[in-house]
Amino acid sequence: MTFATVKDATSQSVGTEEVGSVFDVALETFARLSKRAEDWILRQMTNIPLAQQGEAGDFLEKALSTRSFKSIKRRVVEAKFKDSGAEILGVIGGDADEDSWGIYEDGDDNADE
Amino acid sequence: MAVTSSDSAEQATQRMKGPMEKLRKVELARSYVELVKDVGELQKSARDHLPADPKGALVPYTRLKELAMLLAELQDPTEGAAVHLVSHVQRSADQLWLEMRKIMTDEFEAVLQKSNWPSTEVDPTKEWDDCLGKLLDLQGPELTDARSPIILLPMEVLAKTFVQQFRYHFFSDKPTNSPQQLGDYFFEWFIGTVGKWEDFLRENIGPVLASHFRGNVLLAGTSLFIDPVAAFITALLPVLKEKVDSLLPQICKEPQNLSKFIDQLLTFDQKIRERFLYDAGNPEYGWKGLTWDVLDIWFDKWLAVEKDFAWKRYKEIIDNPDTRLIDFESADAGKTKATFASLQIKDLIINITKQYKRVRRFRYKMSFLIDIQATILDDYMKDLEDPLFTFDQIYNPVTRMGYNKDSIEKSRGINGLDRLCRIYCSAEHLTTLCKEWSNDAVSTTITLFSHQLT
Repeated sequence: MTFATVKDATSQSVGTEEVGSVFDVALETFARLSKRAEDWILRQMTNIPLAQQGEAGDFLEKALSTRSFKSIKRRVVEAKFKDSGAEILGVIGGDADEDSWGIYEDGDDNADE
Repeated sequence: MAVTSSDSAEQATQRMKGPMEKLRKVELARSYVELVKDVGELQKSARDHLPADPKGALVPYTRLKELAMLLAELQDPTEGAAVHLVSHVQRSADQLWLEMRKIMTDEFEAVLQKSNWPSTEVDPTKEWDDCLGKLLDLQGPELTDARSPIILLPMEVLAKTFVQQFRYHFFSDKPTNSPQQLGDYFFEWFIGTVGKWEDFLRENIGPVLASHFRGNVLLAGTSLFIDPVAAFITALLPVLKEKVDSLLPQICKEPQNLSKFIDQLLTFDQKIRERFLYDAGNPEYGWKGLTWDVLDIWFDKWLAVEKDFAWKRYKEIIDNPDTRLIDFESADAGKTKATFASLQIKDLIINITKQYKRVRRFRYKMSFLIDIQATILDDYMKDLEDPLFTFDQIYNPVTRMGYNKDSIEKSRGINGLDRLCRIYCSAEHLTTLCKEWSNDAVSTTITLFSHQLT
């Protein structure tokens, strides 16, 4: 549901308590978008060449909250260990055999709790 | 004669018709004259009571007023008969009221003149109090019947000199009357004048009003009648409204000025409510403000202007490639950073909310929310979503063929990660905004909406 839909719906429902729907949809839309972007970051990290993993990790740590960063990191590690990473995530052209971010960052998972 | 010379009862009845009709007309004419005479006597009687006894004057005036109303009511069933008489009585009643008002207000004005009003040094005498009381007596029935804020007669007299000052400064060819000054001077003048006289009014007029309305169940609880500052504001507002109404057509084609002026109006309304606790006699919902009536006419124009400003600013933000970068200074370490664009769009959305937050009508708030804020957020959402769509396409072996090598390279490695983080950080920042915004705006609009329902 986009804002355009909300616009129409809310225009008709002005005068009802459904006014809350504008805010709910705004919230849901951006939250969904950030979730999609997060999933893509995860895929990107899973497929990033070994040579760039350190730089990518640092960049991610700077840009994201500790919680998000650690969550992504954990999921990348899990994905790579569980089923050769790329395959389980359905990534085309992944570097599943390369050394993973998880191994690279071994033992550092709880450092910034 | 007509009866005795008739051969039959029918003939006699026929012959009597003419004289009987004449007799009826004579009787009608007599009643007509009687009524006109009564009207004249009621008028004279009312005048005779003034200025000494306004309550006494009200008795004949009320009879005359009731007579006028009764005749008007009777006119319909009689198919608009005696139109001249009805309008004469109505006119006489109206004219008498104006005369009575004038006699009484002239008396108070003369007293004020003697005491050098307006001066804060004035020490109101017993004469003042008497005149004030008499004017309130005269206005008694009008106050009881009032369904909207009404100006107290004595306050109208007290405020007359300030209304003249206002006209001198803001309706003449003085520089203070330049449309380009908008409300810079006259709103300040209004608030300054009320502020200057606040103490005087409370000390000197307040007790008179309190004692006059004490025990009056209907009127004693109304701020307009017992709060002298509220009564003073009510007396001054019409001239200010006249000024506002005359200024708007002059500036409506200048978007910057229209926007600024509506903001000044909203600020003025708020100051009057907050500083002087003015509620226009409506303790439950408060004073509707000058803006209320103004927006009835100018809202669409104002909305269009604000929408245009907001949209231009939004375009300026997203058309600047530098704003797409992540601002690593935007949050402390360990927290998600925002992009420059999302920070600026958040500011823009908050500023728009500030513009309409003080507007009292629910549907106006909704128009800002839907026409401006939701439109901007909708566009920004698409703007963030499009690159994700590109990622979907590039990583799909079927659709990837539609993209060149350069595009594919940009979506890989650190470059791709950077682009994704920008989307993520922007979306996260806007999610936070929506949470804060939702709590704030929903509570305000819903509360106001429920007020309007009642």
